[in-house]
Amino acid sequence: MMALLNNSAMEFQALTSADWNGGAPMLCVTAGIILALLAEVLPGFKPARHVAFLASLCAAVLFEMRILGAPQGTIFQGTFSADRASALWGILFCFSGLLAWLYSRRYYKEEKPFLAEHDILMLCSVLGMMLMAGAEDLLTFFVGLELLSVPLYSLACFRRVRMESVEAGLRYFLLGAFAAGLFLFGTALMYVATGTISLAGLRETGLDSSLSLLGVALMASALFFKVSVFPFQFWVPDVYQGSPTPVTVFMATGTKAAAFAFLMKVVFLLPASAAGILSIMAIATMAIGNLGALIQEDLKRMLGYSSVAHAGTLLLVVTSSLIGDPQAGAPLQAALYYMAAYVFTAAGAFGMIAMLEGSGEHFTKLESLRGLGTRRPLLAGALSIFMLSLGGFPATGGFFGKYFVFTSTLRADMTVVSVLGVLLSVVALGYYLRVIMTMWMRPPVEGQAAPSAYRPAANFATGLCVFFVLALGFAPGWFLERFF
Amino acid sequence: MLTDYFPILILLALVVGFVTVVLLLSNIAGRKRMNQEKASAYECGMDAVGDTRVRISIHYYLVAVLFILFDVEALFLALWASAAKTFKEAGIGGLIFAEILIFVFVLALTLAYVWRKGGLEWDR
Repeated sequence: MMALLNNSAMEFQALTSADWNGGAPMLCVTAGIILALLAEVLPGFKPARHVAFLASLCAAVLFEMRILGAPQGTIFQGTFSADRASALWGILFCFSGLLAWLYSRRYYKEEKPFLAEHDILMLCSVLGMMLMAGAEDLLTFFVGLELLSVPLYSLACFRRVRMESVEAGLRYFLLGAFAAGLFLFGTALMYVATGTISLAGLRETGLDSSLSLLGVALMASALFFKVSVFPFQFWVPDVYQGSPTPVTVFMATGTKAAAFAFLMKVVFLLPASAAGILSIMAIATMAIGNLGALIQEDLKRMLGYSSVAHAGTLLLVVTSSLIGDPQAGAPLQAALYYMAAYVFTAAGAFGMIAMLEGSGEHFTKLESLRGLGTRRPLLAGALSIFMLSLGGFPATGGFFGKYFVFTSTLRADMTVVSVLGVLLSVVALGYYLRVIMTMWMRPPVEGQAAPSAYRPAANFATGLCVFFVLALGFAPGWFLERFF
Repeated sequence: MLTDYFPILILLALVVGFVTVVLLLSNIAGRKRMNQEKASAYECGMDAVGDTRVRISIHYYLVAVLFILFDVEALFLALWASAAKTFKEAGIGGLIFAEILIFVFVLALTLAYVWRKGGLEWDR
């Protein structure tokens, strides 16, 4: 025991400047959490919570930009990497949290007294995502995963007076706990087989024993569950529909991005022979998502299915990176671009539902959108742009996301899979265009009140989303040069 | 590698086998003469009355969660305390002490938050 202690004390290294620079974004968010908690309990400081929330996210984005300019490499003694990719993911998470926060203003009614907890839990989740995207060993990732999931479980049932919300939270919790267990078990098996849990160590030893392959399979299942890939996608529509819509904004964009960030990092663990089954899973996911969405009458549920379909498309990039794209960095770039476009598009689309429904139940049905084009042309226009981007129309971010994904899969010689994927994307237009048609071409329902337009925060968020969706669609070169 | 765990497999087989054999034997060879006295709960138990599903106050869970929180804090502090001397000799005692202080500060903040929010009041 004493020898062990001596040993660890000798190995102890003081934090270097790279550690500080690379960890700065996470420190900012942590400071934000602490300050928001303090503001909540100190008398007279309540409004300061909003300042703490926004300031910490802004500071985190700025520090991530700094890392983007000067990558710090692997820090914290090899447990975390502050490179360009993790910085970009981090910026996306901050935006995801910010957009969800903006859309949650004026959304809740009875839950108003607990809004402080809502914001603090959201910050905790953002912190967990950052930890996940940069994790360089399996346990660091697991801590990030739990830091992301546990706050989300409670956020999912934040409208606790509503049965669906509580049900969504419970369902998410039970399945999420199961996935976490799978991940831990997989990690344990890999450790038994190889004696290491760091990604660098696993890259060195390789995973060829059957025990370690079993571990990889379990770990991959847990990750597939989080990104909602077939056959682990069944919970998504229910949870997305039941959760309060601002939380759905956050779940659909942030959680998915965080899990994919790590999935892109651990692709090398999968055996090359897994490429076939991965492509099948990707196509099946796209098919289930798109065909399921076609028959939905509820807008929120439809977008839930659509989010499953998008996970399938992203899984194609994972596959092409496993097979080996001749351009080494291209799959990661494609995944990042796709996810960046998806974060702003999906956040905007789900956020519009949050805006339209207020705290009532109406306006989540497709029918209730009738005539929105004549009553609130700006809102309808924004929602149309989001729908077109989700469907991958040119001049929107979604188009270039899909374009990069499919060029990468084509370079990796997955011709059949790519063709199937493009065809399924065309099927998807069926339900995206239906939303646009309902808004612009059908008269409003008699006696239904128009949705309130006075929501400064949500309007600002929508503007932000529209701006980024169009910017990513019109000037991909500018973004690629500077960020990706 | 896996062969190292073979003894555990043997132990597992022995345990399962023993339990199965004993239960089966007592079931097959045992004499079954039931009477009032025998069917009643033995000394340490009591007669089952009423519903087994008891609703537990929600406060109980709150207190339990808080307990676990500060239990873990105590665990970390104990680990640090037992290694403090080694850290000091290695010349990083001050740094580790500062880290522990930050840790305790964050947890103290949570306590203040819980207190302020009325989480410690039983009758509410």
